[in-house]
Amino acid sequence: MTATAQIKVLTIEDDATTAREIAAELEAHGFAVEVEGDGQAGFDKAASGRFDAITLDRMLPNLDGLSIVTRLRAAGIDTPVLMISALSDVDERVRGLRAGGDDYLTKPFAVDEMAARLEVLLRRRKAPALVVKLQVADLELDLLERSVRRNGVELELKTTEFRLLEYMMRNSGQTLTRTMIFEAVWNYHFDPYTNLIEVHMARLRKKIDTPGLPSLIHTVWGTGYMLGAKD
Amino acid sequence: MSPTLREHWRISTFRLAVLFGFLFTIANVVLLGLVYWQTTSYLERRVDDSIVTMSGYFKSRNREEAIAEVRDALSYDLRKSNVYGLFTSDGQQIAGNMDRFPAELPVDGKIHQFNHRTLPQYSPGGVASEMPVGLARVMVRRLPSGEVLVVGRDFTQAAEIKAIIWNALIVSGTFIIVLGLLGGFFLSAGPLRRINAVRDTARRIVQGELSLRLPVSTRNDEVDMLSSIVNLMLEEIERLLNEVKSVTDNVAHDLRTPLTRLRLGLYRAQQAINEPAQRRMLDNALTETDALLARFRALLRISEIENRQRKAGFELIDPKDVIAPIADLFEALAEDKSIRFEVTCHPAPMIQGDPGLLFEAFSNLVDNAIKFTPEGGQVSVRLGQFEGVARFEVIDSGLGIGPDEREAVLQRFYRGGQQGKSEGYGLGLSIVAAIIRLHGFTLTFQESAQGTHVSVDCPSRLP
Repeated sequence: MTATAQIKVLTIEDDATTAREIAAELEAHGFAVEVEGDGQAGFDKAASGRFDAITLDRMLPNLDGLSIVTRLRAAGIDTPVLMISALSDVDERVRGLRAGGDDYLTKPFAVDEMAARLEVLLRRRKAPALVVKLQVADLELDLLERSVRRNGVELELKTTEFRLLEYMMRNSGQTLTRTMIFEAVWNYHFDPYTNLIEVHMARLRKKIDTPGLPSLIHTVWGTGYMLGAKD
Repeated sequence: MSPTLREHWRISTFRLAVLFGFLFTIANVVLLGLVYWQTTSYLERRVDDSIVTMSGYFKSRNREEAIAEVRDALSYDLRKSNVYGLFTSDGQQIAGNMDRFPAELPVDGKIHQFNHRTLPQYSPGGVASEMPVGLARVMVRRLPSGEVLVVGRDFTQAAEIKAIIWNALIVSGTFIIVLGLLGGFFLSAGPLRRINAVRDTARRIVQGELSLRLPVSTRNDEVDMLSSIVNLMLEEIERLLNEVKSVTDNVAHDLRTPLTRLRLGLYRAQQAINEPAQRRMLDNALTETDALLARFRALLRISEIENRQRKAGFELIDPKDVIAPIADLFEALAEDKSIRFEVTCHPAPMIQGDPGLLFEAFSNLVDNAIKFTPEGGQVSVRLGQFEGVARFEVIDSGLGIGPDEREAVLQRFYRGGQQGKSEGYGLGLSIVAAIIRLHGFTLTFQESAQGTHVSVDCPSRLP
C-alpha cells in the first residue's frame, strides 16, 4: 500500500497491550491508526466520520461496543465496523451484527486474521454494487452464465468450487483466512477443525492453475490464501 | 398423562383406604354373625320352651285322650305355627297335621331341628307337594300307651333371619368395599397429582432447567416437607454449579486477554525477524499457539453450548437440508484420501433443532469417520427413520472403537488410543455430545463387524 490518501482506522479497545498490537499490525498494512480506550470518547471520535474503518471492542468503560455501533448507525454513520469481543456466544455474534457491526471476531484472535477481515470490509465498501463479471489476470468468471475461463479456455467447476472462486476473486489480492472462507462460502460459524478448506482449495487450484500458466492461488503461510497475479 | 391404577396403588392413602375397607368388612361379618347367633339362639329357647310346655299336656294320656288333645290344640292354634303328630308304633298317622312320620328323628324326648313340608300358615292351599320346605323344631316321644307323639313348632323364621342377615352382609360388604376403593381412588388422586407435578419438575431440572423448584403447597404436609428439603438441596446444587461456572468463566475470561497478547506478540516477532533459523522457531511457536487457541475456543464453545438456553434458536427443519451440505463439504476430503464416500437420504420426519449446531455435530462425525478411515476405505452417511424417528448414521471401515472406549470417547479431551498420528484436537466429539444433549437426541455406537457405526436418533419433540 502506498501513501495515496492513507486509510484511517479507529481502534476502540480498552486493553492497552491488545490495542498496541492491533495498531502495530494495521500500521504494518499501511493504515493510519488512532487508538481510544474509553467507550464514550471512542464514540465521539467515531461519530466525527473521519475514519474509513473502526475496530470495536465489545466491552468498554462508560459506553459498551454494542451501544456505540447502534448509535453510530442511528446517526447515519456507515463506517465499516469490525467488532472484537470476548463474548463468543453465537447469540452475541448475531446481536453484534444486528446492531450494525459488519463483522465479528472473537478473542483470542490472530491479528493477521483481524487485518484480513478489516481489509475485506474496506474493499466491500468500495466495490460497485452489481458485478456480472469478475476478472483477475487471465482468469474470468461470469456470474450470469456461471462460467469460468482461464486464458480463454472454459473450465468445468462444481457449485462449491464456483462459490469459492467467486469469493476469492471478489477479494483478489487480499489474504483470506480459512475461517473467513468457511464463513463466507459455507455460511457456518464454527472452527472447521480439519484440513477441509485446504482440500477444497487444492481441488480448485488443480483446476485453475493448470501447468504452464502462472499460479493465481497462493498460500499465505500460517494465515490463509490469496488469489491474484504474483507481482 | 392420566395416572394408572398401578400408580394409584403406590399411593399410601389408597392402600390405607382399601385396607380399612377390608377391616370394616371383617368387622361387619363378625357383627352380623353375632346378631344372627344371638337372635336364633333366643328364638330357639323360646320355641323350645313352648314345645316343652306343649308336650307336657300329653303326660299320662291314653290314646283317645291324646287324639282329642291333638285336635283340641290344633283348633286353638290360630297362627298355625304348631306341629302335632300322633302315630302308631309302626308309623301310621292317627291324628295331627304332619303328612308323614319323621323316621329320621330319634324317639328320645329331646328337641331336634328338621326340615318338613308342613307350613300351613304360609301355604293356604294345604296340598303337601306344593308346600315349601320349612324348618321346625320338634320333640318325638313315645306315649305310655305305645303311640309315638310328635310335638313341635315352626322354626322357618330362623332360616329367614339367616337369609336377611346374609343379604345384609352381601349388600353392606359390597358397599364398604366399593366405597373404600372409590374413596381411596379419590383420596389418592390429590397426592398422585402432586407427585406427578414433582416428577415433571424433576425431569425438567434434570434436563438443565436448574432454576426450577418443586411445587410446595400451603398445607405443609409430608409431601411439602419433602419437597422443601429437596428444594433446599436444589438451591445448594444450583449455587455450587453457578460458582463452578463463574470460576470457569472467569478463568476463560482471564485467559483470553493474555492469550490474545501472546499470539499478537509472537506474530509481531515473527514478522520482524528475517534470520531463517529464528524465524522457523517462531513459526513453530505460532503454530503451537494457534493449536492452543483452537483448543481453547473449542472448550469455550462446549461450555457455551452447554449453557445455552434450551430451544433458543430451534426451528422445525428437514434433516435432508442438514445432510445435503455435508455431502458437498466432505466429498472432496474423502476423495483426497481415496475413500469411497456415499450419502443416502431416505425420507425422514422433520426434526426440531438449531440447523447450524446440527450441521456442526453431524459434520464433526463425518469428519472423524474420514479421519480414522485408512486410504481406500469407505464412509457411508445415511439418513432415514427408525421407529418413526429420524436417524442419522455414519458408517466407516476404519479402525473402530472398542465397546469399553465408547463412553470415554464422548468425554472431553479424549482421543482414540491408536490414532496418535492423525490431527485433531480431541474435543470434536465432546462438542458433538454437547449438541446432541442440547437437542435431546441420542447417540449410539452400533455393533459392527468392522469400523465404527454411529447413529443419532432425533426425536422431534424434547423428552
